[in-house]
Amino acid sequence: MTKYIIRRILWFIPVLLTVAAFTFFLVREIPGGPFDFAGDKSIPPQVVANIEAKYHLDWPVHMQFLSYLVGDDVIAAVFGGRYAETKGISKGLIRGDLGPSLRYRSLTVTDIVGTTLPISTQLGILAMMIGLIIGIPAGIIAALKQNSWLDFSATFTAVLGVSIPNLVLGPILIWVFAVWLRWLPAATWGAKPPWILGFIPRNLGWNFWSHAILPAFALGTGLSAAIARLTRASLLQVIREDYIRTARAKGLAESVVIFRHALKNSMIPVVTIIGPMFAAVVTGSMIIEQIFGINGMGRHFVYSIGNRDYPLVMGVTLVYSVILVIANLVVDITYAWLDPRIRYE
Amino acid sequence: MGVAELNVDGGVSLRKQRSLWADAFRRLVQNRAALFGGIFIIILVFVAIFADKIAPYGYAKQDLLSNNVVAKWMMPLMPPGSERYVHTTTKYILGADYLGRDILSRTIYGSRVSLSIAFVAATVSLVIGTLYGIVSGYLGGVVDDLMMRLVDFLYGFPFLVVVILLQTYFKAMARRGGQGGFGTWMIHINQAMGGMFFLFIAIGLINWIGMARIARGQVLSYREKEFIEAARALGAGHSRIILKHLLPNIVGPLIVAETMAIPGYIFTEAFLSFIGLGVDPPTPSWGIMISEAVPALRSYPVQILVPSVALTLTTLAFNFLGDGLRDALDPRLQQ
Repeated sequence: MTKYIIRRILWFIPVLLTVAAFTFFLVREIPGGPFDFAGDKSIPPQVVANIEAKYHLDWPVHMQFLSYLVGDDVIAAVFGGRYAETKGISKGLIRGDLGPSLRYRSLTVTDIVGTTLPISTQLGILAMMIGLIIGIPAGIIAALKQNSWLDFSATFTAVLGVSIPNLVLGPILIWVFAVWLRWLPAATWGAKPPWILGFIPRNLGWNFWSHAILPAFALGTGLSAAIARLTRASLLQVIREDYIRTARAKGLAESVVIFRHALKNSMIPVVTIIGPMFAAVVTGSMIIEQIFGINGMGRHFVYSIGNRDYPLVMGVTLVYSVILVIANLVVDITYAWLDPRIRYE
Repeated sequence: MGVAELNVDGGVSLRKQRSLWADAFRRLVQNRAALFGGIFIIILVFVAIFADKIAPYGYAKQDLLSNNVVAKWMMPLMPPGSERYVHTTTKYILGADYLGRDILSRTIYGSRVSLSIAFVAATVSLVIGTLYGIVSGYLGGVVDDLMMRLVDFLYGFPFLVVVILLQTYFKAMARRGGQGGFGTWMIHINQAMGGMFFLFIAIGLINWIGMARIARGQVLSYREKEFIEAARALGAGHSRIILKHLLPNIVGPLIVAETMAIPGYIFTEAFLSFIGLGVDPPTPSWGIMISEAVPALRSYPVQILVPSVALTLTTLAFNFLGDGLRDALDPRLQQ
């Protein structure tokens, strides 16, 4: 198992490198640059050229990529010449430096990710918890009482839940609970740094929860509906298997049959979708952050590309990809626990 | 064709044979939710086709004196205290938006975008995915290994980032205009379609991956079956085996998976339009209408209602239909 995990972690390197390279080259292929300002904000071309030179945007793209990976001091030392003329801007990805932001020029990408990711993660974890706490029990009950009114109402609610996009649910929750009833605030996030362990708010009082409830439900409802549907379908399939009949024939109590034998196996497809779901949700949902005015990382996925803020695009994409590959690894490890027949050598 | 059946009195009668598809269709129609979904989608298709006949006004027609008017019957839905600033109307059944455009007409025209995305992206991903999956599964061996490694790899990609990158790229290209030739031709098509063409490409280009996996899995499970072996023994060529024997067997699960994926395409379009990377204004799409209504959420919340309901009902209909199709084609799950 340890060997398998190490091999998988080593496999991360080429995957992440390819994601980085693809994003790096594609985002530079998009016409327009970070310092193209039109109209009143336009800058003389010589000034633009100077700023671009400062950020090494005048280098050949493959050299920019190399320097993004290993740092420009290494490039300067190895290649010399024009590559040693300007001051360094980044120590490179391998030393954990995500470079400067081209749009927010007093900030580095690490600053931006560091301030926005914890907020997105708090929201994402709350939404994920709503998804699991509602979704899994609802799916189990629906499957165990198949074709009863409980099943029909749970299934119907779940289909409704997956059919309402965040885009619709967010504004409607604001409308009902913030504008009409005035129970909860409509926007912003109720916690500030410093965080405990990097992402847990220090003060979990009403101010935090009142701001968190609406966005967490807007994000979590769809998750819980999707999880409930999958749990139900998967459990229905599993309880028709021969080994469940055997367990019943042995005279085991129904609760043991369901919870010890059926449930574990039926969780395999559920866990499979939870991995990518988790990665998507903790790195921030741009729609929810936009609608609720939350300063999370999700919106930078959109705006960094629009602003051609190349290092920021790279930064958020890489953070997302790292969380995605780790989540998928955890999913694969969970398989072995859920189904002991699955072994990794 | 009929099936001979022995009667009690010893005579032979003919019973009409029912094909798998006729059976499935019968089960589908018995499922009320699926029936509702199917009928709703058919009606919506007609609404989309005849949008210019049904819609009372044009989708871009502005009536600047009635910007943000609220339909009289919708006043109970407005927040308390709004009587002081709201102008009501009976001219527009559902009110008008911040530019004085009829919301009902824009919603009707908006169905064109959602449905086109649904059907075109579904067809593109179904065709590419099925072809890819069949080739990979049927050939097997090294080819299969390579083709599936590529799919696994693409699967690990941050889907949303790629869609945003592609759409930003296409939009920037369209603004610059092409340098003649193929690029310009594509940009012209895109303009004629109100910006939808590039959306088709961006969404379709990414979603065939899941379909390819399902198709390959299905091919693998049928490839070694006796009836394929029999066909081969009778001298059937590869193309005959694939088209006549494999395809009819695997097409059911693929159609089900594709129908279930359609709400995702509709969401993606709405999402891209919401962040300004969707269709080009003034082409109405439900996503654009929602994003335009969000800033006025506190003062004119009813503006968001109509496109939201349209979007939700449409995805609901596709979900019901997909569930119904799945149950109809795989009756084992029903007790």
